[in-house]
Amino acid sequence: MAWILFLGFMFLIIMRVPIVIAMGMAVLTAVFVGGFGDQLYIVPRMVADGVENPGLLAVPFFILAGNLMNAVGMTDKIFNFATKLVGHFRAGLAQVNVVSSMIFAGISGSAVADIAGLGTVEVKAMRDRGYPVEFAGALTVATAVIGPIIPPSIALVIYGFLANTSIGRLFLGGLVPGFLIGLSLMLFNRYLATRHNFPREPKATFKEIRGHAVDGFAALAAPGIILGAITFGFTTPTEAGVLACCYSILLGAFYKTLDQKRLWKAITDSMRVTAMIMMIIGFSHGMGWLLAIEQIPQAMAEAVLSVTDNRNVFLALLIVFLLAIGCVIEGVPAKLILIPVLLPITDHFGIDRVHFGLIIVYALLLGLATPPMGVGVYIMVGITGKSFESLTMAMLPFLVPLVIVLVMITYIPALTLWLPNLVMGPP
Amino acid sequence: MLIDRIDHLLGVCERTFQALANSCLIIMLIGNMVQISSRAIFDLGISMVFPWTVFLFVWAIFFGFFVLYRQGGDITVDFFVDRFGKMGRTVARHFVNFITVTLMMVMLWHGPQTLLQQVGDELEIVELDRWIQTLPLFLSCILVTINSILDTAKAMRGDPERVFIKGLEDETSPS
Repeated sequence: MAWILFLGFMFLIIMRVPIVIAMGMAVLTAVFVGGFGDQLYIVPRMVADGVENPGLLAVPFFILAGNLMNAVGMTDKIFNFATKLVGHFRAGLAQVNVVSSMIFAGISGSAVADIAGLGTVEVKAMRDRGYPVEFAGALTVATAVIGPIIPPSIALVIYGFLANTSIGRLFLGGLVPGFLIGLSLMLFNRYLATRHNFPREPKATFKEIRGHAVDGFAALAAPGIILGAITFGFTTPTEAGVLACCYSILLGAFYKTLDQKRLWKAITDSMRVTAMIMMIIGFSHGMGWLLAIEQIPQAMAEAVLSVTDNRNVFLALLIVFLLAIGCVIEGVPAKLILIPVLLPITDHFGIDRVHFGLIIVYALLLGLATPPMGVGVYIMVGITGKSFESLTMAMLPFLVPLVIVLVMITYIPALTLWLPNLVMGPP
Repeated sequence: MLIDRIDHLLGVCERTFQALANSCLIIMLIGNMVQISSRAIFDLGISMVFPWTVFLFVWAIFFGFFVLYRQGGDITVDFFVDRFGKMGRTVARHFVNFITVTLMMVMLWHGPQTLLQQVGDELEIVELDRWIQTLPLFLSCILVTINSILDTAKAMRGDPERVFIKGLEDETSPS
């Protein structure tokens, strides 16, 4: 039944069936073939139950906060601030691309929002300064993976709900890896700059930096509000999302850039993405039921433990497996399928759930940049007008620093656990 | 033409559902902001905010479900189908509509049973039966079904597919 579920989902995706429908149909088929044909009523019931989930209330607000920041025009201000800050480095605009994404990541919890929001500004600026468009597009997709690692993060909220893990700890756990990803991409840009002679921007004066710093700090304040509110117990994660939305609206009022039309569009976009994520979760509720009946997590755990009982070998197998899955299944359904299956195994090996959360979220995120399911590359095709193949080829070198960071996060738990343990104490 | 008239009606439903979903989100936002302010200023929580937020959240998603499909907002993977050219895309369009209608019909077939099981199951504080919360799911399923059948009819008439940029962007012209 599990194979029908998995292969059916894959087949439908390849046949261009939208993800929500593919998930629903795969579950329906598995229920039917599994001998529960007379109990198909569980499918709508499971959807209704799966969507009614207070643990995921934060999702629409974090999506809305990111879209509002785009609507307010913060992406331009962040980009300008980053240009003044690091534009004079070697491969200036490439470094600006990384720093902009790191700042934007603190506002938006979604890699797709990063690409759709900052992507256009970044690619246009880099093209105008003579960077190859494929390089600019590929770098933008690579930097977008920082979005769901630096808090807030929709992916970590979903993981926290599935793994019954503190959202505050997960958010804090994402900070160091997020900065590491940014640093690795900047070093890689530096290396590429020496080979391709990428241009630098003129060094900004202190006065210019100070002029743009107000905008930069306005953006940087958002993650501070969110993290501070959750970590110190002032608000729930949902309310922190609400605060981030209100902060974005206030910024829009301050800059006079948020009119009624833009506000409505931001809400509409947010609702559409929320509906998609939550309907996938709704349909996957039935999948969880099937996996439990089939005792798949237990069987999977036994299978893995028969291969190895060495924690390090298991971690190596885990990241290879997650990278492969990330290539063929989009992040949300992949997490919904894998987390319940893998948790008993990671618990057996004594891997902290915050640590595992960052590994699985980050590893699956890399699928954004890899064929055939590279959603990030697809969006970049729309922005740049370049072919999927050429962007994918340009993307390949950036996977090197990204995978190195994944290995570091996997084998050095302190990178993810040090900060949450320091701020919130040991679990 | 009947197809165009149905298409127009679906457009009206799309805008209505969009407005309802957006309104739910706006009310959730305002309610929670009032809650946070009340707690910060008066040290007083408002007990009805949380259950109503959950209720509106579910409504927003179920209303948004039809809008998602009407606007082509869900993620699809095109690389395989595109390799087979126009013929491949046409076959895939019919296949997707067939799969969508099949799933929706199963959902709708068992809809009354699901709703009946929820009659008398009152939501705490909201004081409404649970079936009222679930009802928009089935309304959306009806409209998604009609939309898919209509798209099949349009494909047979030779109408091009509506084209959307992947992800969060606006609809673009098919031409």
